[in-house]
Amino acid sequence: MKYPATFVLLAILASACKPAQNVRPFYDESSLKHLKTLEESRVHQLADEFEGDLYKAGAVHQDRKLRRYVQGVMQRLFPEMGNAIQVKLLKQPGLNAYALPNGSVYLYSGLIARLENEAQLAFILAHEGAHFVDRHYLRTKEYRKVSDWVYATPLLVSQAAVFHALAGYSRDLESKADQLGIERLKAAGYDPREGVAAMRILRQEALAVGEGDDASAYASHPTLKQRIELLEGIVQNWPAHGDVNASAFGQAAGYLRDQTLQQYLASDQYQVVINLMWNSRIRKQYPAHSDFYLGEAYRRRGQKYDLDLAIDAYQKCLEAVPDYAPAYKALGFVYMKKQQWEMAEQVFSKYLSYKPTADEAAYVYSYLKKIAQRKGE
Amino acid sequence: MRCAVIVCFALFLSACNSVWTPVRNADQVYLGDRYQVELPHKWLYTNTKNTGLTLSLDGPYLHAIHVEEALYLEAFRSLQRPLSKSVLPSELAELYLARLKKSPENGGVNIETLSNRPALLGGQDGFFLHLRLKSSDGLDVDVLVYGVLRGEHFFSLSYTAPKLWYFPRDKNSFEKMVGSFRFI
Repeated sequence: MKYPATFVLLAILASACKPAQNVRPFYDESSLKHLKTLEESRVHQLADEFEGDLYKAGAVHQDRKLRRYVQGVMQRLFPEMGNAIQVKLLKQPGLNAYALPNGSVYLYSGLIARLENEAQLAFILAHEGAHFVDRHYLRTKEYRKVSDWVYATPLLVSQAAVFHALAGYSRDLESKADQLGIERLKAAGYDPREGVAAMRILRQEALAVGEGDDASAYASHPTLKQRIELLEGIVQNWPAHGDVNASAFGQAAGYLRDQTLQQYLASDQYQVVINLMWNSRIRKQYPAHSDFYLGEAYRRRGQKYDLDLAIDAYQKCLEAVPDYAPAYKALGFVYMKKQQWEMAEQVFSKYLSYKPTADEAAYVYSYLKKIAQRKGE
Repeated sequence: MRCAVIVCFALFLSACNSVWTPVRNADQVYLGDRYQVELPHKWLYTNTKNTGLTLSLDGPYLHAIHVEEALYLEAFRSLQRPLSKSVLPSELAELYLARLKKSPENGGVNIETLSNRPALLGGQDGFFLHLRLKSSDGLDVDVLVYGVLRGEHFFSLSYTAPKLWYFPRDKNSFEKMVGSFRFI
């Protein structure tokens, strides 16, 4: 993507389309005059290359229906931008999102999973959209420093811009994106209080997974607490009014909570799953069978007493969802480890009554055969 | 597919530091410390203390068979968790997968498990995994693994090759080698 073409396209779109009501224009050309000579095209190219690597590595979520839904929310927020901002999802359980200088906004599937409704999702998108539309990647101190000193090395300039797009911005720019985002949320007809709610949820989850109050890597970034206070100050005099769309959001993205726990387990982050499931406020937001994942975290972690804790968790799962077959199989594995053969046989048989031909049923059949041989002896 | 890159790098290092010997006879047997196995005819093999027995026909960067023999506690030390000696085959498969996914860049997202089932290796109960990894260039690479715990030692035979061409071409050579694997 070359700079002139993109710039002209965005400028035409920005001038031709009517912005959302009561929102001041994002594009403040006068403040970017000093940047005109910079090699912005190289920044876009580097972002394109980075994005290409993500696709090649299979890191991008392939749920087209969910992506269309999220893209629709973005277009409702930024109607004047047309398709210039493209939302994409990454298969990652963490709490992160970023806007690349080429207009691609990436959301971690784990971040979407934590939200409760469309309005909260819209706030996250509005915040990231504001970073892109306001061209924050060209406004960081470090970028200016590099660009002032080394006109002859556009690669360094580009890297500085893309780095900040990925790693997050300074306190001022993050706060500005929050402010612009909440205004955009209101203008698009969503309940702006859900923007504050989204940040509260993310703070709660960040604390639970051990990311701390400052989820960013830089001391110069505002903490989540500071961001919440800023947003509360903005919305306090606004009436609670606007769309929330919890049902539509649940249909499109509800399954991601389950997937997030699976991803944490798959990446060996057992303590994160344990922390999430032990937080009663967070636990309520996850599916009824989620105690199965708590059991899996204990079983795989394998510390002292973990097998007993795993049994408790699997049984709790089966109390909530009696036909949740994987819990029977996992319970059988634990009973095998504890050499409680009859209990193992009982729960394995129950598993096979639900899933006689499942892929992993082969292990269950082999263990039942061993139990039978032991009985014969 | 960082793990595949790491495997290739390890193979590259082994290629630089060791001698590759051709398998001259159709029934040539390799004797390890605790196992023996028939080697595929006309392939090249090398054995180093660090990487174990490695075989390839067209070069380890393209495809390779690898035999791992290591102390169980050493083999999974990188997982930094308590390791039970009474591990079930299904759990051993989980450990193997966890070790593969341990790389932070990988995060588990680039490894797809196509099959995970019990299997015999050298007459011992173990696991079989069929995995698909995606390289940073978008290339699908298939991996077959047979793994087993015998006493204090973990043994695995794995075959890594691009899904297209190499994987189907040499899969039978690998399966034949697995069938010939014996503990001594």
